[in-house]
Amino acid sequence: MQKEEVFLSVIESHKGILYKVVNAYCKDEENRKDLIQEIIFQLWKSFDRYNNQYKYSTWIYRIALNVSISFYRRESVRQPVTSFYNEQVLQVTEEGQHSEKDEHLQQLHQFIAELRDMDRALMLLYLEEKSYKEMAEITGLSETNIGTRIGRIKMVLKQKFSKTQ
Amino acid sequence: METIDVINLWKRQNALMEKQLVVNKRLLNEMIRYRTSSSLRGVRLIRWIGIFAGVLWCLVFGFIAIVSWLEGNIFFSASVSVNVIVTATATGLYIYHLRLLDAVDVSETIVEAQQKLIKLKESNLKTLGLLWLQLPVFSTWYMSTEWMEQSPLTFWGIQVPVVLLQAFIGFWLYRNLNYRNHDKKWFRWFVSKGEFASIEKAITFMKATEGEGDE
Repeated sequence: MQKEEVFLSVIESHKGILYKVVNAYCKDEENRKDLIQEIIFQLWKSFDRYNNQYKYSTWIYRIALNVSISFYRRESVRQPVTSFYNEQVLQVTEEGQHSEKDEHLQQLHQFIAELRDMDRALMLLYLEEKSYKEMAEITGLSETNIGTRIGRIKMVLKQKFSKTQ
Repeated sequence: METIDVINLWKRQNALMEKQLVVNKRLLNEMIRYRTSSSLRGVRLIRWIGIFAGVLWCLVFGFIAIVSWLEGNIFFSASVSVNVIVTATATGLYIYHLRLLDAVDVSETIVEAQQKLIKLKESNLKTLGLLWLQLPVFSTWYMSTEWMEQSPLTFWGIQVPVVLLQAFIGFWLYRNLNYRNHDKKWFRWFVSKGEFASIEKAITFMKATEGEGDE
């Protein structure tokens, strides 16, 4: 299998990670397109150096979160990089676009968006039911620190949801 | 709503997303084949232009400084020499920035990669502070002993205070363009443009990461 094909299949099987990270860190639709392109470019650039000691998901999370956090801080307007800029690498089918969004889910997304960069990353990983060990491999924080932060985030989350019920 | 309900809600979203999310393979192929630069390219390009201009500047003005020393033009040659020394140091820092940029690896952990990016921002700020040190030389290069002797009132009454004020401003900015002043209004105004604009957010991020430690 060619390198390109392997890469495409990795992206295909982890497309959800990219979509969720980009949506959590970037509110603006146009910037989201740009951010996802930057993440995929960085993934492609690092693909040769992929260390199979870690899962593909760990590697993708690291790059997607690192690029998103830096991107979010820059807030710059950049030029389109492909001739197909009006298209998107990740597209939601028409059926998905018109389906009604769960109110709780919207609240959850709002809650995630209000968190600080690192806590936002931890919340995403927590919702994906990653172990503390894996979260530590992605973030570089210690497992103890992660435990404390997750505990605090969960407490705020609980308060938030109890208020709205 | 309990935590387990939130996780189940997220799982339901994931299941739905798997069905509804489609990868545009043609566009993805285009991107990996034809895209050659990342967003850090601009930062790198600015450094290369800076290094090229800095080296050229130092060569030309270094030569001018030597000639003027030989001719005994003290004010001019001292001003140009200070300018060349500051420019050479800033050029050296720009070379160091390229090394820092090479060290940035987004596949490292978030803490490691972001620390390297912040180190670059810090050094960038130091370079800006350093460049301000040369502020008074823009008012000293045209001074002369003749002026001092023939018009002591304008020389000592106007020119010297202006130079001293510039020296004070330059030195003050050199000392105070520092992260420790990030919460001050003047600092925010000063670094609100270009590469410096994201400094405040970078500081908040690192404080949130480091400040809480292992509780």
